[in-house]
Amino acid sequence: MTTMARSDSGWAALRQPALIAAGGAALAVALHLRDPNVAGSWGPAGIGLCPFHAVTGLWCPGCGGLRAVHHLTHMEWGAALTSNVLTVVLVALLVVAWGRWVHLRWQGLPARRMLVLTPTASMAVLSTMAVFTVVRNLPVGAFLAP
Amino acid sequence: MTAMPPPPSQPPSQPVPAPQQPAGRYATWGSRAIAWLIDGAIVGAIAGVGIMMVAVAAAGTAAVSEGAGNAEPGAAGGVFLVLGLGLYAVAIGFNLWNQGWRQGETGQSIGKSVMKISVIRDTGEFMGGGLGIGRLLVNWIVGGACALNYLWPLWDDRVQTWADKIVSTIVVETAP
Repeated sequence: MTTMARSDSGWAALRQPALIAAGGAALAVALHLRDPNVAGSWGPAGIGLCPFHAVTGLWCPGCGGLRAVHHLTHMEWGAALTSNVLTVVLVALLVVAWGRWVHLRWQGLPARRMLVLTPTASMAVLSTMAVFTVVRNLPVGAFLAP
Repeated sequence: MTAMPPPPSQPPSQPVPAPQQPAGRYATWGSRAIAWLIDGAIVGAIAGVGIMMVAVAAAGTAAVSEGAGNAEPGAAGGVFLVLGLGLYAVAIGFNLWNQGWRQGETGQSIGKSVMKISVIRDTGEFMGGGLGIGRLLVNWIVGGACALNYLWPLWDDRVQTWADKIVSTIVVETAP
């Protein structure tokens, strides 16, 4: 895919990372200001944003994700972890991946996308999500539920 | 994305058999998303008119029951109802043809031909109409259950949705 003879380097290569960062920052600011803990703040009142939760009443692996980001922006680490621990890990991974991406592109190295998962990594991610989903819906895993 | 010079055409001195794959580069998530939006807009326009006609028919029936109907509102409402439901069926049928059969036979829905990208099997061949419709149905089920299906190409090493993985297809940029 990235077999171009030469890639842009320097500022020209950083346009995409800048766009992604701006998008992420905008989302973080929005979640900082509009608290997703308030019912109806981000989804229809009484239904919420997650169709899986609306239909089954169970927690999906993403449930509590917005709340986790909200708490992260307020530096409430404990609340962030209990809202959705996977989201906290994901945010950390995305920040690291973004930094690495910027570093590679600044040097003109080929890095078309910020993050690319191999099949093994994909299976690991999906397995983790599956286990997390089961555990957070069990009584013993209630501390993982938002 | 950086601007790319067009890939060099086949040297005329070497008559190499045409490669099975249209092109080696995977289509980006963005171009697939735009193609999907184009296809969806066509379906949405047809279905939208149909839903509006059903709504008009329903409103007419309500008006009649309130005693405010015109001379022959029942017949007009019935026509609107049938036409509206018919259009809705046409929208579904169009989608089955466009994103199902057509895409299976030629590799491209209308949206994908606009974006110059194609769906091919791992083997480099087109799916064929039957599997094309099958892939569409898998997308409806898997994508309906979890939207991650449509986001997965963003970080997948082969730029695949889960439906792509299930039916062993990839989406590539079509050779000019």
